[in-house]
Amino acid sequence: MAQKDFIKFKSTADSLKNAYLRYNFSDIQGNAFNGVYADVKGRMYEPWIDISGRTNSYNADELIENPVGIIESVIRDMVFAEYNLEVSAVFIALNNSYFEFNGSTHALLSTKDDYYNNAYLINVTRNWSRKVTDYDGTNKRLYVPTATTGTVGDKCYIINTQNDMINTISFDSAMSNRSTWKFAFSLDQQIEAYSLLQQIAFESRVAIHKNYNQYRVTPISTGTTVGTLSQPLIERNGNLMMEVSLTDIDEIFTEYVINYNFLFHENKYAKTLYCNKDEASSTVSSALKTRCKNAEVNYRLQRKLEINLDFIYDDTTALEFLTRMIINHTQQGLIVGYVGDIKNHIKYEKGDLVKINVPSRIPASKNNVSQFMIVKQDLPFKRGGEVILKLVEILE
Amino acid sequence: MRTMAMTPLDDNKVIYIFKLQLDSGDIYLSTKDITLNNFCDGKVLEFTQYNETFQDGEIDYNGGISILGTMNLIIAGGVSNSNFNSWFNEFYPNTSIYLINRYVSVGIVWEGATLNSQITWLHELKIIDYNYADNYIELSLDTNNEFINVNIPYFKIQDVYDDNISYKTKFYTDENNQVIPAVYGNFYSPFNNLAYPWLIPLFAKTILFDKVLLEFVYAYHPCYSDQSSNYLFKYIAGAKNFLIMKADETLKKNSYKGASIQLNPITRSFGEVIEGDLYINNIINSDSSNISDISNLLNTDDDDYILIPVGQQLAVKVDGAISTSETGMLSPMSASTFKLLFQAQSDTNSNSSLNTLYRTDRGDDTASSHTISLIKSTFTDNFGTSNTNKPNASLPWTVEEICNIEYILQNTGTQAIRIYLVSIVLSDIHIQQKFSNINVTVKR
Repeated sequence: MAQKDFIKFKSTADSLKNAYLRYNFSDIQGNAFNGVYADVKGRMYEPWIDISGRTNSYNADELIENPVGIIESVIRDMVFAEYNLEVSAVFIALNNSYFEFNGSTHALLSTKDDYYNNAYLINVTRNWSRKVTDYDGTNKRLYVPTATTGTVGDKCYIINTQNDMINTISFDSAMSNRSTWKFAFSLDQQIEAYSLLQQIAFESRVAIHKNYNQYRVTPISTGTTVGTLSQPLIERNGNLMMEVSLTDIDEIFTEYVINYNFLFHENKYAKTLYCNKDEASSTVSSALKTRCKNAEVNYRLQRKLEINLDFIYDDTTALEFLTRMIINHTQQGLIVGYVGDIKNHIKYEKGDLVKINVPSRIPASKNNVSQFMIVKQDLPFKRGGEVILKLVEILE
Repeated sequence: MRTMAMTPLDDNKVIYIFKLQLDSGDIYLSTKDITLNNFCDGKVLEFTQYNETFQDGEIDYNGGISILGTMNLIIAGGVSNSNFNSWFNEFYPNTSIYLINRYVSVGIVWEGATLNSQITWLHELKIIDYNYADNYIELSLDTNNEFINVNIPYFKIQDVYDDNISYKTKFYTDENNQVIPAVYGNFYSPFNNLAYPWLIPLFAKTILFDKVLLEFVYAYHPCYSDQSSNYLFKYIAGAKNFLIMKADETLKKNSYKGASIQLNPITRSFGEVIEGDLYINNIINSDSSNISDISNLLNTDDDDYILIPVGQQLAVKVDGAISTSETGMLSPMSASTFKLLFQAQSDTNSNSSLNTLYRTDRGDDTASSHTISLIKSTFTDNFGTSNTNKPNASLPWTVEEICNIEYILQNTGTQAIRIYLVSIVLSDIHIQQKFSNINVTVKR
């Protein structure tokens, strides 16, 4: 009832002396309906998860919870997308329909043939999604393989446009590595895609990087090594072109607190895991307490690390994250600068796991034993050639 | 590890290839003249004078996105290559050949290569700037990041263009530009869990898309639908719990037009009501209680309990203020108006007995009796039909009144009783009701 409405009582009965009106509306102007939530399950995998050659264990129309799956969906379904499209011409046939987006407004961007091949055209008006099999850049015409409905004026958008920029081998391997991890988030504020992906990668302890023209996801974890480095170049004075240092002492912590399970309605984290040399949450193993104790003794410091995790709600996942943080940050690892010849080293690339067998530089307990990740590969374009690698020991 | 297109030879035979992908066509440059499918001009780069390095973007070994790789490419001037012999006049602004945001691919071959297919491509960079001096053009390149300057999710409520997702013709000022969410993962918590304080509900955010239809949108995209919920949840701070609002099954939407739940049908019949339930679990010890510490009723461990000894009683009241404007009107004088829900178990192998009642400042309601066995059981007492000692007894209960009375659990048996849970349950709250007439309660 609006504020201007009024209630008029009319009665001829003398006995009617007192009238009570006990009635309250919820304010439909909006105040009563702030902070409303829904119990739902989120986005599903699109058919790109099942394309030929992929080795993951997920299928289209399944719920996306794996953090690497979320990274891939954010990239394919939200970043590599064009919105506000409007059909300007259409041809419907049994096996080969096409839709043109070539109007003066609401048109596709690219005029390059085949640019949108293997993208997914979503017709919002008709509520369908179809894979694009061919693209005619001159007419801005998308071909879809199956019979479907549609007409001029239909509202559309297109996703998975730069699909050849995803290295599916890398993503599938990382999904498998993080198969027990579950993330969740509800994004109701715009955020730069870079910031969102940065945070997801941090909380899932993976690295997102570009090799040549494809994005890869590499878990920060030990795994299968692809080779052994044993031949650094030698300077004219006979020194090996190889330097070894330790990870920063400022990255060593002796006490850990992670806050997770963020409650939107209370604006706070509902759960906490903690670990120090004396106490830990009940699910945290005593071995992690020992690591905290050793860090305090070995490095003669006490330092606390507290992290808020915005995408982790699952207890198992939170414990995985804490465990890896403690393993990595209660001891220093090796950082290696290594210069090798092109002939034997150009085959390696960023993200590869290798061993290093140079006993004059690597401590005996780690030489040809520890796994190192190539985190950087500089290439000087000069005669003679060399490859400059930076490697970090992987402890978890 | 890379798959090499050509078996690496000795380093003195290395040739780097640079493919500039311009609108006018691809230009191949190299560190040494070589003819593959195209002639790759080595003189233009003059590598005897300049010593360029591709500086790779480093992987963050704590997890994250690696920073951009960079390099500069210096092209000598005054050479015979027709792509560069007019120097800076070859490019914009003198011509329509733009350099900015065009790609440069970096590859490697060895002497003896004859085909483009023998190039192993190493990096793809974008020209972000260029400058020139007397004898060179210098291109500044980086590996480009498609994630920068892209804001997501895309759709916001607007009245400019009907995209079938975010368009509205009329809305209140605070709705304009509100983002329609994207949601990942599992936010499904069965609403019955709200009765138990040890179960932390997890819900996805919604935005109010239509204030008349009360349509709440939780995603701009289709969502996984393996659950039958047609409920919405509004947080009531005073209850520290959610008002459960029931929508009609047919008013859910989950399609490419978005995913939403709507409380009002487009046409509502006279008397039709939006109803809701509320479990009030935040309680405090009240004056009539013999139990000094009830913290075990409030924590998140479902095995914790408090003990009511023989002949003693637990008395609690709501710890917080809840208003009718937040929740709506309670259903008048029905059993479901408000209930006392509790879980109890005898502390020994023998049964005990328990009375429950409410107490106002005017006196007590009539007690309800229960047999408490050694099996942990859930009990529900309906207080809503009673108005014994109620203030304003002729009028329906209000949520304010319910928050101001005590709830008593009296051990009338011979064994101590464990109490695991006490909750005040408000059912069938009238959140909104359509009227064409107004009913008036008249008191003489």
